[in-house]
Amino acid sequence: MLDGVISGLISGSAYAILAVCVVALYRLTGVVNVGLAAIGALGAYSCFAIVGAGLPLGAAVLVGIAVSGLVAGLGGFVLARWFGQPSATTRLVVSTVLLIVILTLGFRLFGDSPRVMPSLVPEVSLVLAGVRVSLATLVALACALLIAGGLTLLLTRTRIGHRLEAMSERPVTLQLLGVNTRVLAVAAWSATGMLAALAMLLVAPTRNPTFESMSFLIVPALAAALLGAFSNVWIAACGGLAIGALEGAGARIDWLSSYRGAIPFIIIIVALIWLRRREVWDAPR
Amino acid sequence: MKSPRSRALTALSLSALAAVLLAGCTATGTNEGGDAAGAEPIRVGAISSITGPAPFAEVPGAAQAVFDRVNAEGGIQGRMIEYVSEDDGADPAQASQAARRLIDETGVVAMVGSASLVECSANAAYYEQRGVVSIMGTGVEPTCFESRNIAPVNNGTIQGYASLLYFASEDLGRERVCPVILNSAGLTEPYLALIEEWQSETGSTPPLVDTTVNLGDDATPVLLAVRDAGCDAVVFNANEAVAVAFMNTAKQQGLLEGIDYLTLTSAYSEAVVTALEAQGTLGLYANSEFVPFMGDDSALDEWRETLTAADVPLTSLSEGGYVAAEILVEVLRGIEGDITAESVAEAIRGAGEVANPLLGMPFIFDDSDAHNPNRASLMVQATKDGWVTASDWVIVP
Repeated sequence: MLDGVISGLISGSAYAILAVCVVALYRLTGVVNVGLAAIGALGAYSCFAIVGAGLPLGAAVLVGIAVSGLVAGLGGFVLARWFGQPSATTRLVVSTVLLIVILTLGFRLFGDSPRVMPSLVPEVSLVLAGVRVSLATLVALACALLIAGGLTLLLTRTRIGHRLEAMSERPVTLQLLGVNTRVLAVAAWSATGMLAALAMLLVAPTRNPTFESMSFLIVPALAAALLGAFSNVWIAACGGLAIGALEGAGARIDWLSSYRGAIPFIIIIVALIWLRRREVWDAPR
Repeated sequence: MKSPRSRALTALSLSALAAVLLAGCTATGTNEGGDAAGAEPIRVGAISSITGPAPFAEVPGAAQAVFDRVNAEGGIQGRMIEYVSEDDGADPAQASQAARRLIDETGVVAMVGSASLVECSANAAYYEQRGVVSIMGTGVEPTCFESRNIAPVNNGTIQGYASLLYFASEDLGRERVCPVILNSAGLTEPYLALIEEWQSETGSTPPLVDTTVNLGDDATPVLLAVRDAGCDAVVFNANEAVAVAFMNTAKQQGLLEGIDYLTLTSAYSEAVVTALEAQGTLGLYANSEFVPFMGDDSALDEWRETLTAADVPLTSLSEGGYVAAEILVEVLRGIEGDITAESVAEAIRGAGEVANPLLGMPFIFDDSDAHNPNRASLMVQATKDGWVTASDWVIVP
């Protein structure tokens, strides 16, 4: 049971990093970026392609992260330039289109043949209380918590954080104050894109089958973000870890094992019902 | 508000135009100028997933190479073979339209060298109704192996999996063979039925039959179960990428030593062995449904020569297309008189055993309601010298 939980933590860490990024980006720009994992996957696969061409891993990782940052920044620019004002629905549609474009691009560029995916972290594992814990799991876990902590500090304690949040609340007011919101938005997109690439590089050696399956790691991450109501970074991070652990442990429980894939969706449904518990259900929206 | 809408309309009409243009390009590979003798060409067809999630272009490509060679040698009864290969885009509707086009309009006398994810279930009934036979290069769905008018030359995943189980228990002599089935829609039940058959045939009792993880998901839970059950061989289904990921997970759990890993023929590729070596997980076995294409068997010489000349990739898949076309050519050569769909079907059902140097057992397309003529596999193992042949032909009873 415990080793099931531990084995799920590495996926959980990736969900947590993605969920934190989704929440942060939503708070800053008001966009739910459903293509975030795909953007990260694009960077991770670029890194693997470069490693495959014989370059050292360190340089490849930097290029991979830069690719994700660029692509995310481009997505942020498109949204800020042409879809700054429209409704949340429109922005969600644009972000879905972005997901589809990146999925197609990734499939065209990288296909589905297997790749050598080197691990960023030395392949060491410790045995704690009879359970095998890989160093990669610990590093991923630490990254998830650091990123959640860092973003909390940035958003609540710094001037730029306040400006960023003001941007999602009252973009026009902020523009009238002479702040260049477009640059801020692009920077926020780009930063979350780079973090997503890092998350993907960390989990790739254990969860690497294809570009497509990597891109859909966003589903459990969205479930986690929803648990935090797209506003609380810490609940989102813990939610991500919990979903990973539940998936890992669920495999060892007979009655649950066949339904593990549905866990994120069940969480999404339950969270939606809970968050909307005080609303009139048949009201038109 | 007007301009985005009109822009969207422009985009829509442009993409519609592109779709129409692309649709016009789907019928490829027709052999032009094959009218040397003035006689009407013999038309044969194929429907393959050339675009889509798993492209199989080299299978009809290899068949085309065979027909080009035969045409260059003078054709059949002085008539050229015209090969019309269509793409179904892994879409059953397109597959079914293509079949109607090929049979009713083009007038093909047989289907050969098809390789599709969806074609069998879409067209099996239609082939039977129209009396057209199909010698597939690569059958994927279970329906391909359960139809009266379809006979693939490959083993297929189910028979391939069976050969791995028999190899593990009978040839490697493993006593704790654990079948692992990574779930994919519609395939889990046939696998389970086959495992039961293998148990009663060999008297093996697997300590674990695992079906908890979906194909493409993290395989760690499976490998923890493998460890707890004390398996000494793990037979799992996978595509290229999943096979590599599965082995990596086994390594991370420290489960490479003392356990043999066996998987389906999809893993038998250059890319997989390179990735396995890079991550330090060599030793994986896979089945080869034909004479292993990376080997140096002289039976491969002609295949290699024909395909290299036609610029078709040398893979396990292209062996299938090649073998299917060779078998059809042999059958066509044996026909005296008119070559029609009817006479081809009659000839192939009457031909009995058709041997081919690339097959481990003779190909039979008899009068029965289901055909899985190739149940023979050679095992190959991933080593630092690439894939090397590790067994004799394993024939599933």
